[in-house]
Amino acid sequence: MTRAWPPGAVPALSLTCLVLAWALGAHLAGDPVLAPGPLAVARLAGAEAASGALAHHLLATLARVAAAFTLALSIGMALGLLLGRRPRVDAFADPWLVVLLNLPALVVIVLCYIWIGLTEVAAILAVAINKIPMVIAIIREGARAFDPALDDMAKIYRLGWWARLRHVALPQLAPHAAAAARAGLALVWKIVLVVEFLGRPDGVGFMIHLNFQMFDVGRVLVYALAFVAVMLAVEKLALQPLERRARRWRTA
Amino acid sequence: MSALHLSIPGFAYGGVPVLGPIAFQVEAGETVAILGPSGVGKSTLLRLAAGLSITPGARITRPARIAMVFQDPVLLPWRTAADNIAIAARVDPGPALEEVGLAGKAAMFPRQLSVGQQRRLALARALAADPDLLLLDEPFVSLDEALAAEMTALTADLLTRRRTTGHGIAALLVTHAAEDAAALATRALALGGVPATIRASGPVHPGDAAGVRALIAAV
Repeated sequence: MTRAWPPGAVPALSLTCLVLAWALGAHLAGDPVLAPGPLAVARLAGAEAASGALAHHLLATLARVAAAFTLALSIGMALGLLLGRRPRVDAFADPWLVVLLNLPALVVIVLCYIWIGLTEVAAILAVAINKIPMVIAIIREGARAFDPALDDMAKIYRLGWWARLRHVALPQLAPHAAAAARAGLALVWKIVLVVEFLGRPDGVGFMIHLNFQMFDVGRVLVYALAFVAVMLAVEKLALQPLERRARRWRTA
Repeated sequence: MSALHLSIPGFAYGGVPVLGPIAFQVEAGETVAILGPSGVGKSTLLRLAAGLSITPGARITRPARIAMVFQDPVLLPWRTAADNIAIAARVDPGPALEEVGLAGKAAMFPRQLSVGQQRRLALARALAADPDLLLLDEPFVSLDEALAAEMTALTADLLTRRRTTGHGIAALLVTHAAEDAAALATRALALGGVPATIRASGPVHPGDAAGVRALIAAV
């Protein structure tokens, strides 16, 4: 019989190994500017945090992620529900969806910046447009799989559209919405960085651009890793509790 | 005053005729059983009566307030027992739960209830909607004998209670079990043939399963 590891021990060990491998690699490379080790990056992170720059740029990016994510999820869910429930609309809109799903993120970003200008609206819109087709596709699958018996029930008891949406449709969509949110958050924050890289005066993407031009690998890593940490925290502290709440009736 | 008046020239599913010309009505205060073997089109007829299916040339008048007990309970698994009633019937669920013996289960989710309790909840929901027409689609078909008998008795009791307090609730019951019809119905229609039509009909005397069987045999 194998001894049980205490909870969290394996991920902690795994991450420690990753940091050690990084330290070893940096040591072997012997170039503190192009390949800084974990300690050097930690020192830089401390300096950026102390100056307030780190928080400022993290918050700017986080706000864009939140705006684009909310926009993409609400529009994508509404359209996905429509397409999943109305086969004729779906038959017409499906080719559009295929085109949009295959449109490179960069094209959307460039076009938004050209047509709308280098503004916050263009940045958030570009990210949302990149994300919406994926949300539509996932939610559409969920809406297609609705239980017809519940539709009958809703019809017999003459539930209004709001009651149908709240009590019949959304709970059935919840697992798909959670999948869309999970996949969406990962995609959105990466695209937000690109949008910032190309045309915003602040945010993690902007700082990566700036430090890229300065060849400052250390600060690139500081901002990248800090934001990874923030997004993991969002996932753990916001998304997972929400999912648990939505699943309460299954395990209850 | 008839609660349900139905007249259809027929009904085809995917080009295949299922029902032939059928006309009948259900008066307030009576329970009509639609009998017939599995697959004859009983549930299709009930869906037409409910407005869940439509067919060209149909003339159907039904009251505004209808309720239905389905073959499966068809509850919202993500809402509590109380909410299942409140959402569908838009009333205080307390008395309705109490009436079917689920007084202490208001906060439970359907999956925490036993099969029998889920059936009771579905019945409570239907009656809480205070319908003028109650549609029952083989409501006890998948239950074991004891539970089916218990549910039949409960349904009969609740219907009687409403009718004796002056609410002339009409009910239309689809079943292939003569016992169900004998326990609940005041009149029976037997479907038969392809496409199915009403081949026999007659009054049902309380508890007279043999009489119902004779009606089915006449088809």
